[in-house]
Amino acid sequence: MKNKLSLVVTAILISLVLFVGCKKKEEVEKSIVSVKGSDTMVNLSQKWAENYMKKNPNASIQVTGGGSGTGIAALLNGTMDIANSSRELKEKEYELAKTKNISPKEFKVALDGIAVIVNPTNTINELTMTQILEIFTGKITNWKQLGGEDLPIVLYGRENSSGTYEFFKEHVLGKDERGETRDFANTTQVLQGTAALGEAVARDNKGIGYGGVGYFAVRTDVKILKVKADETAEGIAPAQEGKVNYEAIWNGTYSISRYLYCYTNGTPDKKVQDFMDFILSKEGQDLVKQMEYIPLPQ
Amino acid sequence: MVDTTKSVDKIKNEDSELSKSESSLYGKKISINVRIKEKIIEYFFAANGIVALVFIILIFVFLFREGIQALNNVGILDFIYFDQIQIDKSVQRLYEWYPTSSEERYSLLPLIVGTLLTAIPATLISTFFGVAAGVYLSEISNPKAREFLKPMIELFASIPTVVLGFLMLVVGASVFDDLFHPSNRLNAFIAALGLSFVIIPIIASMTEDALRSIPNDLRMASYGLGATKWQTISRVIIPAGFSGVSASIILGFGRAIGETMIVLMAAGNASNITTDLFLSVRTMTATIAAEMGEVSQGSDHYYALFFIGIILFTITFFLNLIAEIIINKMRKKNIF
Repeated sequence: MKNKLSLVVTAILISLVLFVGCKKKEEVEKSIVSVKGSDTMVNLSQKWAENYMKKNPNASIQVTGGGSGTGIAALLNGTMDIANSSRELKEKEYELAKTKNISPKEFKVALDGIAVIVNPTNTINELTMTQILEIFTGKITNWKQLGGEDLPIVLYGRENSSGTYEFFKEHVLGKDERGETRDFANTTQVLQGTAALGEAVARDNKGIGYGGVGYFAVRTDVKILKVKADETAEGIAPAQEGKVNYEAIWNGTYSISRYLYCYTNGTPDKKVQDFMDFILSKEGQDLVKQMEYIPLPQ
Repeated sequence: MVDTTKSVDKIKNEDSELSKSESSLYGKKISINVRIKEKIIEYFFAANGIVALVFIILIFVFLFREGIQALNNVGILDFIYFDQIQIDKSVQRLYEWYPTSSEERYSLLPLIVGTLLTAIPATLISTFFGVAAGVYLSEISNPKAREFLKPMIELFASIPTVVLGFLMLVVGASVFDDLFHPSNRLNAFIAALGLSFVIIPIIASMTEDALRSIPNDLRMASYGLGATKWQTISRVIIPAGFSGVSASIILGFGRAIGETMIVLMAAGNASNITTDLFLSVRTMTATIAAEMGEVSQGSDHYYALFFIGIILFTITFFLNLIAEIIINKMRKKNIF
């Protein structure tokens, strides 16, 4: 008994020593690139960083969110190497940059396109931006009001931390007369992830939802609606017959889409340039597709 | 319960007798060794018990410390309503949970309503089936059937709740939708059904325990007076075991309030304030689960989620406390 006990104790001690020994491996000097900005792009940016670091073990990319504005502010303060932004830099920000001796350089890195989906049995085929706004803020509550069947509208949305949620809210719902952002109606059912949302709309003939174009283009159990910029405009489908309508998204005729940007200070140094090259390479753009965003025109 | 404590005492006595006889046989040295060993084992178990207690206290302290900071920026009234000033300067009172809006709204009302709207129906359903199952196991089934059924029911309680939630989401909701066409496919009732799968085993198993601890004399006396089986169960056994059964229901209710995965998946997560069982609702637990992952640490939203945690903890703590008190009373009463 005693022998066994001492054996166990020695074994534990030895393994402890080994463990500590392992931990104290010398760390190689790493080149650190810090990225900050748009919450929409955090997951995408992280994906790029992960894959880039896998290929270049000496590189360390640190990605944080906080919103496009915070990212740009950090770039202008010179504390960040790359600012992620889901909008172009404003005139004011360029002026501010000049006074701080910083010359922002713009990279278009991907596009964001959101499809509005309904159940395939729904007779509605296209909606205007205003109608979509009124549906999701709870002003229009019955499909009849839009020329469809006499059924109540059931809203499906994403959790408030998702980038899709942010973009849709910002881009489609916008701000009200008081200058406050409009919120989704509180009858909106919150689902975890695009897949769950697609599933819900596919099973609910009263449902309407939204999500990345890339994801829904290939699904046959939901119907992607055409979107009209206004009453008179032509309805544009973001995807047709299982394929994303890239042209419409690239040239901006599809209303719920936008470019995503990375900003660097001046011509970036090598470590930043390498990372940017990776993002714009075929591999980087494949990751864009994988994360349900729209890749750049090649 | 009574039997086990007695048998433990017995074993203890036997043990000490054994060590006494050992000491007389092998001499003093061994007896000291045995005693030290026993002491060590005793301390080991005591230490484990204390560690568990310390952890619970630490969890409570942490929860409270984080949650109470919500009151720094968000008033206690903000957790009830938000006065939105309209463009014409009129005021509209809103009861909405909307912490990410540009006008942050923290009303807990929709979440509390959602929690009750799933937990109460779930408890009612489970009380009906759980108590019936418990009565059957304790009073009606033959010993062989009981030996098979009781472990099966308890096994049922060990199904991961995420599996139940998924089943309700995919199968349960679709079947229900086809049959009854509720206004929302995922609704409070679907979630309550899912919850009952977790709570029925709790109530059934505890009801059985409570009824079995009723002394057989009562049954015999009842039969002796010419009562039928049903009369004995409904007028003698259930009244006698009432406190035990009610404790099981309270514990089941506590579990229903604290359950997360099923309601997150099946209740639809729309913060409606409603009494309509067939509308989507959002519970307190689901809100924490859905939003805690991405909220930025130290924000008002973050602390508000902890504040919900405090409320949940307090509710379940008191429910468990009440149940525990009832069970203790019952134990004392049954020792004649």
